[in-house]
This record gives sequence, structure tokens and C-alpha cells, in this order.
Amino acid sequence: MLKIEHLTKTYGDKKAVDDLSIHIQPGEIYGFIGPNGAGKTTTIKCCCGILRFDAGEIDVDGRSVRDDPVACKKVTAYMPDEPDLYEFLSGIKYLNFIADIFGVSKKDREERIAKYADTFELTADLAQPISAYSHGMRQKLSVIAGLIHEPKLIIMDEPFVGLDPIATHRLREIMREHCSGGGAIFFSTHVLEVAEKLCDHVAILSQGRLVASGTMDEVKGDSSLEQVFLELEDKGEPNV
Amino acid sequence: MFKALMRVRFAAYFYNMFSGGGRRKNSRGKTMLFAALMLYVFVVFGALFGLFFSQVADPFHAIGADWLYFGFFGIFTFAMLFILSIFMTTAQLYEAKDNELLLSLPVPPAAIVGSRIFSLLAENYVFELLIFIPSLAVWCAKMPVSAGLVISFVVAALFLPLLAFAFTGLFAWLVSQITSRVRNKTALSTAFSLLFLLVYFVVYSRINIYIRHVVENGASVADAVYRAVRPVYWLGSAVAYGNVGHLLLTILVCAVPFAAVYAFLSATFLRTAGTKRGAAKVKYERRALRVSTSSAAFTKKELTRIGTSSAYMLNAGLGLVFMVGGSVALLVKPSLIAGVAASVPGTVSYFPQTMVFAVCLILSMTMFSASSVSLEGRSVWIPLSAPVAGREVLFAKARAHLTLTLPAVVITGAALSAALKVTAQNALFLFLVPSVFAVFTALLGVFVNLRHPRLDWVSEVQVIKQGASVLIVMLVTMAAVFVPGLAYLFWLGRILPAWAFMTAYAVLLAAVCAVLWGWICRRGEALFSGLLS
Repeated sequence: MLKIEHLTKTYGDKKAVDDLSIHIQPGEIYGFIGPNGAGKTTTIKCCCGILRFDAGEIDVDGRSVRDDPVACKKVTAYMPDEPDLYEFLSGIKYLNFIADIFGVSKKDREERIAKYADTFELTADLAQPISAYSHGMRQKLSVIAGLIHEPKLIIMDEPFVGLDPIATHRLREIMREHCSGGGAIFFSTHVLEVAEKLCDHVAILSQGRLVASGTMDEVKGDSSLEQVFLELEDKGEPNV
Repeated sequence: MFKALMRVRFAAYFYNMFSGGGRRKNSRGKTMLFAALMLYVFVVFGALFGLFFSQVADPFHAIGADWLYFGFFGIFTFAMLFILSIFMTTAQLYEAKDNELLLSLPVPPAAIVGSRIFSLLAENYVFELLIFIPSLAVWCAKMPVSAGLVISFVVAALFLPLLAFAFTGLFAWLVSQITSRVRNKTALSTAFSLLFLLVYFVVYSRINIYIRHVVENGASVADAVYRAVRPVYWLGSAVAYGNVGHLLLTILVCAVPFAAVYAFLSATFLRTAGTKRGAAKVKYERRALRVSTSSAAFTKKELTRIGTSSAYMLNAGLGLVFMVGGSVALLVKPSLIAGVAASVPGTVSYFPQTMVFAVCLILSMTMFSASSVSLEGRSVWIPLSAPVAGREVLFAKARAHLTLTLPAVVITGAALSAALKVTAQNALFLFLVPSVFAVFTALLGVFVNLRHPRLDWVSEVQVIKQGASVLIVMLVTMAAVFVPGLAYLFWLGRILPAWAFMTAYAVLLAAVCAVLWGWICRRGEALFSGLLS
């Protein structure tokens, strides 16, 4: 579903991502962890077509992000770490705008908005302007907007930040349902316990380079993900 | 602490003015060009004030009322600073996005307010130069000048913006109090702004009458000002006659209200800035959703952005206010146009053509698209991650611009055609040329803003009012009116029939539009998709 091959992205002289390769299959929840500034957000933005990259290739559902970005974006949902949405729109107008952009039918959008707004307890607030929303409410709206077109691939940057425990629990359920239906999820997180419980596969990034990747059991073995992460950070050696 | 805040303010200000907005640095050439444009604006406005002062200097001196010359400097400076900074003050003090961040830091509110006030004052000093330099230059050219006069004038000029701020600061506080209690903040802000504009333009349209009245009745005007606004006399007397007592009084009149307002704003800042905008919560009730194409959705989004921001609506849509307002005035009183024709010497035979250029000139003040890319701000990831071609997003900005502009062009064309009783051919040009010019302005705005984007603004006013792209678009579109307009009036009008010239002008504009269109489709789309790269 998502194939990242030898991705390299530089800002000036600094290599933010250096020769990164990751393959994510349908049905997988793939966790992406690493310290601040490791290159996670840059990688995610490259996958979503928001940032250009210098070398390598990214394919979404068999299509190249570089050559056919519109087709890739059609089957992808991106949920950023900072939900900077259009503050001048109300919640419902923003969701309807996103549904228009993705060409979601009237019936489908009405059903899905009702379903997910109820799930995240946001229905009553949908008429409010987004400028009046709290960070958590914006995060919920961003999640609903991402789900509205039933994407094949969901890419999330720190999706649990700002969500209350109920919303976190419901998002985890939605993630599992999405993958059991054949979709794939690629998300970054600093919450290692969540990654350990939720992910089938995990990749650890440090200073733009992949230092470990594989199934959760392959990466962590008998120890905890936190222990592995700290050890790899200390060594700074690849273990791909 | 205060110094640190001021450093941040000025760094942001200069970054906003001179940086390219992305990771790229602006070239020296671009900075020079921007500086040249600023200089041009200063020269134009400075010349307007210089004209006034050169008309009144001798008559005032002849009746022994030199003080009134400098009194008018004070009146003009106060009025200009009040009008130019009133909405900027509201936006900077109470709507800045970094208010919460600063309030969370161990910084006293007085320091936050102070840093904002002093950066606004710095801007006001720059604006004040537009009047200070021509008034001093005219006086030096016509009257004897002493060192004492120059020193008194400089001191008075340094204190005058403090008085203007005392009033704008209070007004900004009042506006924030009212808007925090009403649901439709945008409508209220727009109403306030339109009221201001109305007063401003009534005064502006009658300025020649006022100047003539002042010149012809200098003694009675001096007497009236002396009786009604004594501080104006103190200011004038301090500068013209070197009266130290009056200079001290002027300083007090400026500094005391400023200090009082500063203290008041500091004391109330925490509560006012922390007040949530908007009124009671509106509960959502499910209803059928309207489906649109992605292009229409982006256009609607742009229109909603315009409709929910009074600053955007008024600063970028000033031309529309003039066009619709002028059309209504023409329909009510068609004889107005005859007065306008008579007041512009040498244009009677070319009047319908002059009106075409006049409408285009007003259109150059309609600049919705010129800040539309910058206004995406931190939300730019939304169009960048959307499954649409970049050109679709960019053309939606031009389309929103035209959705608002073209109806105003039609209304103005109809009103002018009816009032002037023009031929069918001239009526056609009154509709056609401004329509093509509107398309040109819309596409040029997108083009320039793509080349000078600013996505990291704190207050939207920074890009709507102060953005380099807005200034460039305004000057280029004005040049696109003045150069062919003056060429026609003084030269081409004698050798070319009107229809041929107007057709050529429309075709030339259409050709430029086609070039801009092509650029947006190819290079523009690439620039847009790489905005964050």
C-alpha cells in the first residue's frame, strides 16, 4: 500500500531523511517512532505530497507520489500533528468542503459525518466556527475529515496528542477496523506503549536514518519497545 | 524583557517586509525594488501634502498666522495617523495570534502592550514623515527658518503620534469590547470601517473646497481654531514663534493622555485579550448537505474567507465599495457626472474613454487575490494534501476575486452608460475593458503572491495590508492604467480613433492575461506545490 524506497530529503545542507526504505502492506498498522527532529514529520509530509523530496521513490497503492500525486492523494488521508484547519469555517462546513474535494457522494458524506461526529462526540459543536474549537476538538475534526472519503491509506502524525481518553480509545478501534477491512495505517508517535499495543510493524528513525524496522516482535524481542528505543538511541547504529 | 519583546516585534516586522517568506532569502535586487516602490508611494503622498502646504504658506504668513500652518500640520498628522492605524491597533493588540503565548510567559501585560504600542508608534512615525517632510520643505523654501523652529518642529512631531495613539488605543479597546459581545463580529467591524471610510471620503471629496475656504478666510479660520482647539494653537505657536511654554503644553497634551491610555490598556489587557470572541454557542442541527465540485468548493472557501474577515473585505475590496457606492450615487443624481467632467480639464472630448480608465483605476484597488496565497498560512497543508491539481486551487482564488468584482463592473458600466448617455460602442467598452482589467488584476494577484508568499503571519493584517505582493499588485495595476491612459489623453487620442485604441488596450490586457494563465498552469502550479519544500 505504501512503498518508500531510498527516500532522501534535505533542507539546505542538512539531510532530514537519509536513504529511508519502508514497505507497508494492506492490513498493517505501521508505527513510526523516533526522537524529535529525527525526520518523521518530513517523511510523512513527503508521503502525502506536501513536501518534495530529493531522491528515492514513494508509491501509494501502486502509483508514484512524484509522477501522479493527485491519484495518490485520492486514496490517502493525512492527519497532521498540528490541526491547523480553516478557522473561518464552521466544523460542518469544513467537513463538507473536504467531502467536496474528495468527491464523496451526498448520501455517503451525510452518513459518515453523522457516524464519526457521534463517535467523537462532536455533533453538537459542528455549527461552531473552528476558531472556537479547543485543540482536542480540532484534532477530532481533523480525524473525521480524514475518514470521510474512506481512504485506503491513513497517514497520521502524532494522532493521539490532544485527544481525551475516550476519543483515543475510539480512534484505536477505528484504526483496527480500517486495517481489518484491508486498509493500511502509517503513523508517528512518541507514546511507545500505544505503538507497542497497536502496531503490527514498527520503524525507528534517528537523525533521518532508519535504525530498526520489522514486526513488533522482531524489533523488540523479549524486552519492551521503550528499552529497545533507548538502546538504539544510545548506540545510534542501524539494525534494519 | 521589554527590549527582548521589542526586538521580536521589529525582527518580525522587517522579516515580513523584506524576507521571501519561505526558506529562501530575498535577493538584494528584490529588496531594492521593494525599497523603490516604497519610495514611490512616499513621493506621491508627500507631493499631495506638499501641494496643500505650498497653497497656504503665503496666505497664512500674510495675515500673521504662521502658527496656523503648523497647526494644520498637527491636524493632518493626527487625522492621518488615527485613520491609518485604527484597525491595525485593534488587530495588533487584541487579535494577534501570539497573545496567548506571550501571556503564558513570565512577562507582565504592560510589557506586552508596551512592545505592541511602540512598534505601532514606530510605524506611525514613518507615516508622519509623509506630512512632516513636505511641510518643512515648503516652509524652508518660502519663509525664513531658524534652528529653534526646526528643533521645536521636530520635538512636536515626536510627541504628536503619542496623542494619536491615545485615541486609537481607546477606540481599539472599545471595538474589542463591542465585538466580544456580538455574534456577527465581521458585520460590526465592517460597519465601523465603512462609517470611517464614508467620513473620510466625504472630507476628501470636498478637500479642494475646504482648502479654498481656508486660503480665502485665513483670519476667521485662525480665530475659530484658536477658540475651539487651543492645543492646535499651542502646537503652531511653539513651532512658528519658538514659544517654549506652548511647546511644553504641547508635550503635556500629547504625553499625558498617552500615559493614561497606556496604563489603562495594560490594566485591562489580560481580561480583554482573553475574552473569547463570539457569543452564545450555536447547536448543530442535522440538515441536508450541499454537494459541489472541488473547484466550486475551493471558490466557496475563498469567498467565505473574505466574508468572515472585515480587514480582508475592506482592505482588498475598497474598489468595490467605491464602484457600487458611486453607481448608486450616479443613479440617484446623474448630473454628478457632468460636474466630474467639468472638473477634469481637457478630457471633455475623451470623457467616456476617461471613465473606462477611471473604472480600471478603481479596480486596481480591488486586490483579493493579491494576498490569497499568503492567507493559506499554516493551513496550506490542506490544499497541498488535497487530490486536486495546484492550478485548481490557484484559479479558485482568481475566481473568487472575479465573483465579487465582475458584478460591480457590470453595475458601474450600466450606471455610467445611463448617466453619460453614451453610444452603444462606448457602452461596450465601459463593460468590456474593465472586465478584462478585472481578470488581469485577479491573475496578477495570484502570480505576484505566488512569487512573494508569506505563510507565517501572526495577524492576517500583515499580509492583507503590509504584504509586498499587495503593494506590487497595486502599483503594477495603477501603472497599467496611467501609462496607456495618459498616452491616450496626450498623444494617441489625436492619432487613433477611440474604438481602435480601446480594442487594442483590451486585446493587450487579454494577451497579458493569457500569459499569466499559462504561467499559473505550469510554473505557478510547481511553485505552489513546493511552498513548504
